[in-house]
Amino acid sequence: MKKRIILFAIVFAVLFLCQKTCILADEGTVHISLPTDPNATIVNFTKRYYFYVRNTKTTQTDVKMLAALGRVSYFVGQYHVNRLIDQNFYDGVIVKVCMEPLEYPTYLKSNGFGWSEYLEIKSNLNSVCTVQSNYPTNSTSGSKSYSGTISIGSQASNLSFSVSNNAKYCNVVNKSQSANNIFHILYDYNPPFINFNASVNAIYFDETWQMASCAWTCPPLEDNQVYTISVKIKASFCTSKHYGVNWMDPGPGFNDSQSLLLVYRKNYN
Amino acid sequence: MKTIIKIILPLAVIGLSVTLLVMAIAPKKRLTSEEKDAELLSKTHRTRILVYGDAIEFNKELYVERIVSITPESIGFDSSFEFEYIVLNDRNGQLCMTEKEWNILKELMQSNKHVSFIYLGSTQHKNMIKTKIVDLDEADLFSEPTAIGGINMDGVLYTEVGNAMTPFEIIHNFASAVRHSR
Repeated sequence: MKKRIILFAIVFAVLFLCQKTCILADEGTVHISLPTDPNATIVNFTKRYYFYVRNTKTTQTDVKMLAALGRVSYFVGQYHVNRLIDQNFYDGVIVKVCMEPLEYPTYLKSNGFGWSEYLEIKSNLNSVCTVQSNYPTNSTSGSKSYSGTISIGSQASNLSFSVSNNAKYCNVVNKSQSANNIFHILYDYNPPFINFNASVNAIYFDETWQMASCAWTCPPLEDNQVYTISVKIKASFCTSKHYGVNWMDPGPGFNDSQSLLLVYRKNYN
Repeated sequence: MKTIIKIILPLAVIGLSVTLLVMAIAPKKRLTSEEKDAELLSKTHRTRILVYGDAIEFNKELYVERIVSITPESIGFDSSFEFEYIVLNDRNGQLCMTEKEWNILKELMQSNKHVSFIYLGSTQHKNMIKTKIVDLDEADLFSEPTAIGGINMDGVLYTEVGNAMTPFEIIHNFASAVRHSR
C-alpha cells in the first residue's frame, strides 16, 4: 500500500511539473547583456526606442489595415574606458536591436510568417581619431552593415543571414577583436530553431537580438571637435502571401532617412 | 477504514492525475496578444490605468479610470493594485499640463516604483525634458505626436520613445515591461 501511494505521488508530481512547465513555456524573457569590464563604463542603456510595424497593404485580406504586425526595439549605449590605451582614449557605441512578432497564430493560417531586420552603423570621426577594427586604417568614416532574416513556415522554420561589408571601419561585434578583447563582447544571436513551432507566440527578444559596435581611440579633443555615429535600423514583417522586402519607417523623430543619429560632443581632457 | 483508504485514495490520486494530464495535453485556446496582455494586467498583475485627457477605449477586461487633474490625491497609488499606469492622452494637442503637474508626477514615480506613465502627443515634450521626468534632451524633440514613456521596472526608470498610438500598442508596451520585470 505504501509503495502504491509513493508511486501515485511520483506520478502526480511529474504531471504537476509538466503542467507548470507547459504553462511557463509560453513566456519570453528579455536580457540586456552588456559587456562588462572593470575598466569600462557603460552609459545610456536605460533608453529604449521602439516602433510598431503596421500592415499597410490593402491586398492582405487576412490582416486588418494598420494592425500591428510586430515591434522593433533598440537600445543604444556608449562605453568609455576609464584609462588611457597607448596614450589615447578608447570610446565606443553599442546598438542592440530586437524584434517581436505579434499575433503569430493569425498569420500562420496563411502558411507562413517572416520577419527580417537590418542594422547599419556608420562613423564619421574626427581626423585625429582612429577606428578600431580588424583592418585598422587612418581613414575615419565608413560603414558596415549586417542583416539577418528568419522565416517560418507552417511545416518548418528557416534561418538565413547575409552580411554586407561595405566598409572596414565600424564593426559588427562578433568581428571586433579589439572590442572583444577589451570588453568581452559576445555575439549573442541565438537562433531558436528548436522552439520555433513549440512556442510561436513567445517573445523572441533573446533570439532576435542584433548587436553592432563602433570603437575608436582619440587623443584629447577640443570642445568644438565633433564626431558622429549614425545608426540605421530597418525592419519588415511579412506573411508568405506577400513575402518581400518591405522596409518600414522607424517612426517619429528620425528624419534622417530612417536613421538614428548620435552626436557626441565630448572633450576627454 | 483501511479498506476505504485503500479504495478512495488511489481513486482520488488517479482522478487528479488524469485531470492534470488532460489539462496538460489538451489543445489550449490560443489567446491573441491583446487578450494575453489584458489577462496579465487584469488578473496576474492587477493594474489600474488612469487616463488623463481624451478618453481611450481600452480592452474591457482592464481596470480604467478617468482623471481630471494631476494631483497627489488623483494619482496616489492604490494598494489594491500592483501597478498604476498613467496614460496622458494629448493626441489632439489640447492637454494643458503645467510644469508643476509634471513635477508631481515625477516625485510620485521616484517615491513609488509601481507607477509608470506614457504620454501621447507633441505639445508637452519641452516640459518633460525641463522637469527631467524622462532621459531626453533638446536634440530629442519631436514635432509629430510621439509616445514617450517613463517606465518603472523594479525601481529602475526607463525612458521609452516610439510610435505606440492604438489602445493595443499602448497597453502592450506596459504589459511587456511588466512581463519582463518579473
